[in-house]
Formats: sequence, C-alpha cells, structure tokens
Amino acid sequence: MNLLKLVRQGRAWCFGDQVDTDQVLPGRYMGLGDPARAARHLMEGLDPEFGAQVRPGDIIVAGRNFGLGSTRGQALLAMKAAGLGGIVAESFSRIFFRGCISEGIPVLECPGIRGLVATGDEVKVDFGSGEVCNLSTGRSLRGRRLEGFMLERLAQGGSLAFLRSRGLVGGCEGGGDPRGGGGPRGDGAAPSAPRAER
Amino acid sequence: MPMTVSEKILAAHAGLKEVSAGQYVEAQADLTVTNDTSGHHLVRLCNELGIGPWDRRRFAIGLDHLVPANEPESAHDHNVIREFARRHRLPHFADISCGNHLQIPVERGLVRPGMLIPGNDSHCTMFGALGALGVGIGITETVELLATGRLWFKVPPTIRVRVEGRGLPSGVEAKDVVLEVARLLGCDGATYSTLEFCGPAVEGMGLEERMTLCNMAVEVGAKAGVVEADGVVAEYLSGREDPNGQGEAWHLARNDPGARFERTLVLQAASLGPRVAVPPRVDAVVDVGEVRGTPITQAFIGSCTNGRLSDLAAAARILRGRRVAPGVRLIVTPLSREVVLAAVREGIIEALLQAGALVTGVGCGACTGVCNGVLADDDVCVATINRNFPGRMGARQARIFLASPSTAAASAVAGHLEDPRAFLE
Repeated sequence: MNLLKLVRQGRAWCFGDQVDTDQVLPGRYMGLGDPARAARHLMEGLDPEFGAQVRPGDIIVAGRNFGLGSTRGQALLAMKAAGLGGIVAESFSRIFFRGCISEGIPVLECPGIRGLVATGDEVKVDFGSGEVCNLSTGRSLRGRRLEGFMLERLAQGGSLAFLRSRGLVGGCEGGGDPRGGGGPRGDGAAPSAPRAER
Repeated sequence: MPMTVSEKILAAHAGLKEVSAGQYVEAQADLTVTNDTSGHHLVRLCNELGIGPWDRRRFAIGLDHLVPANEPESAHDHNVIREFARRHRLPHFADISCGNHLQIPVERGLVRPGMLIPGNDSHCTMFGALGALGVGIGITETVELLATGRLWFKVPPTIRVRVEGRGLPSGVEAKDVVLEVARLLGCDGATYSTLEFCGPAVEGMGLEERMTLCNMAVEVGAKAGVVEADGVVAEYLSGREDPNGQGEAWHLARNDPGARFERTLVLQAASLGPRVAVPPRVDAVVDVGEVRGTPITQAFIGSCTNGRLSDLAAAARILRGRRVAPGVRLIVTPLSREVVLAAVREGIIEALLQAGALVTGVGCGACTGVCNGVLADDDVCVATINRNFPGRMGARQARIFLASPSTAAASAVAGHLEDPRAFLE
C-alpha cells in the first residue's frame, strides 16, 4: 500500500463546528449533472468565495461533527472534482466520514486542529500517519490514524478504483445480473413478477 | 455473549456467530435504495463503469425529490434513471406518482425484520421501525454496494431511549418525543451509535409513529434507529406481499436478554409537551410555549419524518371547521400514493382543502428546498420536516421551526407558532 499518496500539502480553509451538508452544498445544486459545476457552489452557505477560489490540494479544516445532515453525496463528487486535498476536523458525522473514504478524499480526526490552523495557512497533512504540520507556523499535531483498510481504500483512490482493481467493472452492460441470492437469508428465492410502475 | 439488535443483524450478515460494538465487519446487504437527485449520479457512474445491481430485486429506486420534473435538466435526469431501470429490469423502480423512496419499500413489503439495508439516504434509519438496520451511505459507496452486495461496517454500540408511561398526552406526538431526544443528546450525541426506542409508550405506538422516531435518529448522529419488532410490525406486514420472498428474521430483530447498552435515557411520556426546534439547529429544542406567538408565513406538513396518514389525520383534526390564517400558506405534501388514497377515503384531504391548504403531489420537494414550497429570505416556516439548517428549504435567511403536524396545523390556523392543545379542548 502506497501511503505516500496520502501526504497532502495545500492552503487551509477553516470552518467552525457543526457544518451541515446544506452548507457544504445547498440542496438546490443536487440536480447538477456535472460535479465540476456543483464544485463552484461548494461551502457556499458559509463562504461564497470558496467555490471560485479553492485550488487542487487545498485542505478543509473544521470543528466538531463536520458533514452532519443529509447524505449529500453530490457534495463529495464536487469535492473530488475540485481536487480537494483532504479534510481535517475535530470530529466527523458518520455518513460524511465514510463517504469520504469511499470517494477517495482523505479525512483525519484531529482534536485541537482548530487551534493549530487559520485560513490561508500552508499545511502538510500525512493522512497515513495522522501527522498535521502547519508550515506557516511550524506547529504540528497528531490526529487519530485511520484503520488500515480505510487507508488502503484511500491510497487506492476510493470505491471506484477498488472496483476496477478487482475487475468488477464492465461486466454486465446492457443486461444486469438476474441471479438471485445475495443475503444470508432468502437465497435462491424465485424473483417475483416485476412491479415497476409508470 | 448476548447481543443487541444491531450486533445480531451485523453478525448474521457477516456470517459470524457473534460480534460486539466497535468491531469492523464486512457484511452482505439485503436491499439498497436511492432517489432521483442522488440516483442520476449513481446511475451515470454505473453506466460509465458497466455496473449493474448485484441482484435486481434488491435495488429500489424512487423518483421523489424533483417531481414532477421542474426543469429540462431534472426531466432528463429522470429519463436517465428510467432507462437504467428498464435495461436492468428493476422490479422495484417507482416513478413520480408513487412517492417517497424510503416509504415505498416499506409499503411494498420489501423492508422486513432482521434486514440490513445500507441505503443512499440519511433517513434510511426509519427502516428500524420494522426491526431492520437501515444505514445511510453516499453515492459512490452505493455504486460499490451495487457491484458487490457487500460493505464494511463498524458495529455500533446502542443507546436506549426508554419512554415510560402508557401513552403520550393529547396534542403530543412521536415528533415531540424525538425532538426532546435531540435536545437531550445534541446533534452529535449518538454519533456512530444505534438509537433504540423502547418502553411502554413506544410499544403502544403504531408503526408510523415509530417510523418518525427512527427517521430522526440520524439527527443526533446515529448510524441507525431501532424499535424491537413486535406484533405491530407483524400486523403491518401481514396485509402486504413479500415480493422478494425474504420472510422475517424475527430473532434478529429483538435484543438478546442481557444485551449490553452504552447508556439508557429515560423520558416520562406524561411530562412531555409539544416541542419546537428553533433555527438553525435541530437540537435547539424548546417547549412550544417559549416561542408561541412568533409570526409565520408558511406551514409545511410532509416529509419522510411526518408525511404519513396519521400525520395528515392529526393535522386534519385541528383544521376541521377552521381556516388557515390570512397571510399564511399551508402546504401539505403526502408521502406516497397509498397515503393520499387513504386520506381521500377518510375525508382528510377534503378537510385540509376546506381549511385552505394547498395539497401537493407526493414526494419530498419542499424539505430539500428544491420545489413545492421553497422559502424566500423573509419567510418564517413551521415545518414537520427533520432539518432546519440555513437554506434547507430554499433561501438562507428563511427561518425554519421544526414541529409536529399538530403544532404546524395549529400554527397555520393561528398565524403564529401555537400550542396545538389550544385547539384540542
């Protein structure tokens, strides 16, 4: 596993506690088909400049419970499209946290981070070890290192890269897989008649 | 070792004899769900990668947010999803007339006790009302789930909320209970835990009220919300098909005697009154008396939290023979076609219309600020939805007070936030 990929350096954008996903990407942009278009509206609820100013590699620094509220997977697609370097927060809401792992956006829980970094500081984050260094001030802090399997998924580039690496893509175009089963119960039950409604 | 419902369901789906809180497992899902606003991204990613569902019977899609399509882009997105559903012959695709994508799988009998349902919506927690473990996941992770049928999970500890007493006082609803829980726990008080609702007052609740409780478990950060499955669930399912032939794993939907809980919160039903969450936080919950008299411009009754028959009935009980106050618009969005049909039969829709309400088509529009009741900056809304964050229902300055259907209806009549008990003498 190449954890070097998880060392990220960029400008910090700081936000407070309880940043909900309606601030990360307001609901009215959910319908935008192109995540790059949605990226222009990232963090719009808190900093209308963010979407225009964010550069690839930049790092979001936030307080407690970052990403609470709606699943808002569109926000993660937009962050990925913007090339966000990663997110360091005092703590995360769970759906957002695991969404980032799946999206390939490095995350780090790091109590005390809000006191270490100010917006505009240059920061270097080793998401693999949990080490955060504020290059503008020379101060550093260590966060909670992610589980090995999460780091592996992140280093790989997220769920889609994982599926490619396992050869699980491109297998069923045009047809779908009609085989039954899948659950620990109910395997092999006959498919019921289609009930799709128009 | 005795296990909780969450531990039992995750153990069974991971093929393990036992698991305990904090452990990571890889588990097989029984079902997953998505809607239109996430679904069009999901479907595009699947199409690009050539991925179809691991089992076409276990993927339920419901078009419910931007319905009917409000602009060419959403109309196109719907068609992209329809084409995917056709090509993969998805039996549980629900088009715009059906309703909310979480409610439909419940009504169709797809959600059953003991199931593991990672779904592409934070409010999947409401499946816990049927003794299933519903867990919210993102778009990209749902692509992974569709390809493999499996995902990693951290086994959650369980926080119990025990509601003592024989039943809720008049004018007090399940929504008030769960708002009180938000006040007590805070909006990250149950992060990564399962929130289990129990006690005599919960046992006495119908399935719809339990769905309201479990639905909002996510608002305190919970991974899942659960009520141990009992006769109420059995009765609900007995009138419905089991389209995937899954049966019920009742043994997984009850805690083992001696199961360990992280903590237990005890509420007394008799001492609960109507509650209101003051913007912009779900956990800024006060007694309705503290905000009574705050003028409103809109009242909204609907959403996966409170858009079911019993919610509309509670509102109608107050609105019957009364009129919505001048200067206030009351918008009611029934959650599904089944809800509309029952509400028509019971004269509820007529009562709402006679009172001056706008009854919209089914779906979720206003709750996510995309259509059917979007707010302007100078609006003040009392809403039965689940979130009051800035911009949730449209403009950022709009103020959203979360409350029960009874409180929303009473406020619509009064023209300001009002205690529903004022109309229930």
